[in-house]
Amino acid sequence: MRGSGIWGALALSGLWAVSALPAGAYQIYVTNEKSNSVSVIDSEKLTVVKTVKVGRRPRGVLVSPDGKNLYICASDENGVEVIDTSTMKLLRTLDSGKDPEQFTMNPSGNPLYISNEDNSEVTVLDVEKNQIVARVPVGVEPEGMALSPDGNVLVNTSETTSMAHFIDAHTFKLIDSVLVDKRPRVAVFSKDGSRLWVSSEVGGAVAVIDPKTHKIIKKIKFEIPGLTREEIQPVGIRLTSDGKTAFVALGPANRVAVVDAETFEVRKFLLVGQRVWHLALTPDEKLLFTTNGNSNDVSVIDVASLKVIKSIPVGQSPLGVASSPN
Amino acid sequence: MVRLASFVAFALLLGAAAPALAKPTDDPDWPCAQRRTGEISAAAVWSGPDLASAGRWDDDAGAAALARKLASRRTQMTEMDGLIDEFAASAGADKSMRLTRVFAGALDVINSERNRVIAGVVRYARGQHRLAEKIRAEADKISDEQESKDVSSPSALDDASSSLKWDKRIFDDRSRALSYVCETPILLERRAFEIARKIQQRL
Repeated sequence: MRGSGIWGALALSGLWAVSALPAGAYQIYVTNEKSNSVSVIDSEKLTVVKTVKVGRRPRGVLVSPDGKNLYICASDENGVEVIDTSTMKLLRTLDSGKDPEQFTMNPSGNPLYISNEDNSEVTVLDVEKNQIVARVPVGVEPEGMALSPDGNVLVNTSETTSMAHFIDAHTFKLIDSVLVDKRPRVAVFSKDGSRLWVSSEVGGAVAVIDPKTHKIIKKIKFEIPGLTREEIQPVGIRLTSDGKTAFVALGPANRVAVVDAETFEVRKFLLVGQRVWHLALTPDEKLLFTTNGNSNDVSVIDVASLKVIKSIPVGQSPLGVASSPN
Repeated sequence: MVRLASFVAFALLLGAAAPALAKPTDDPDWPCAQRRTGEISAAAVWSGPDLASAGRWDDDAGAAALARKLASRRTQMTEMDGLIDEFAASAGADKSMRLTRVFAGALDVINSERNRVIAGVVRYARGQHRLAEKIRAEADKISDEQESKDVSSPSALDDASSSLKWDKRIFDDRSRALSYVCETPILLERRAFEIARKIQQRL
């Protein structure tokens, strides 16, 4: 590997070219759970511009608010890896607690709130000091993590207990737990903080919860002619910032549901790839990217026309997806 | 002590097989980590025209021939576009209907192939269970004989040990092959999806 310096330099210059693209080109980061890698997709070229090796079983992925760091839950390494987005090199591995699966970040860039699937805890991690600030016991198999836009309430879903846990984001005390349908996976707040959306994979439904009263306002069910209820497994959710549209990934139904976020009516189903898991919108909300775990690709949806415009092959078992903020 | 040794050997043997038998499921006949699912429904991969209204695919010889070709695992995924384009170009006025038939046929063929594979996996799992039982019995028998200190027929003991060794080896090899066997239904699902996607792009 004597030539690695040259290759490294070439790779780096290629990357400079990518970051020098006109405004509007975002980087979409996809974790490939079985190939232990991250695919980087350019949102204008709609191709994979780089693939980097990461720790074993990468699942959750997010980009710091300043766009400089990429955070990855390397579940089998029991750590969160921090990657410099300009070089795509590993900077450090943070002490995340056991088996980190999904996480969310404070809008200030610190701390990180991590769900630890194996030990029924939420870990609050100071990313600068690499220090665990708090460990919050929650239900069995915690998964989805969301922080309210005002930063006051942390929500975690526990798959086996089928609950959405509301946690005070300052004292880290449990405020309340809301029973939802079986196997809740993802929790997302609307931009104004007035709604919390929780998907239940086995229950086949999405619960819309009022975060003030902790009451379920609406349960959204999905019916697709020709498919059994078992085949419809909601996981990933993304909401547009105008509060009008929600996208819900339906797992083995191979579709993304387009939901009117005001009336909660399902408007459309878009056939994407096989076993669609997670979703990411570009910051301009023009494109939606879906990870398709069985077909090993990412589908690209044009948000304005609600059409699937491309399938981009990535690594084995793509799971998490996040867009750069700029 | 000898019995303990053979027990340990058996435990080790099972331990070695453990990765392939990981994630025990509720169904003892299903050894794969991936859930056993029913047939691939058209709706899971297809959002094009209704299949029934396109008419029987096996009455359309051209469509049926392409369906079988696309469904065959001998056909590379990369060859599909060319094959479908060629058919579409000569399909005539009812191109969409005929392409729909191609998909209906390919799905039927893939589903019956997948059923065969799944039945094979079940047979395989049962075979492994039987072999595990046999290994356990052989190990017990050897340790019993060793314990009874009946060395009147040392060659019989040797034979039994050799048989045990072979069975263990077969068991291990089959366990290692399991992940490949389990992948096959998924590969077929992927093929069905790809065919559906490629055909829908041309409707």
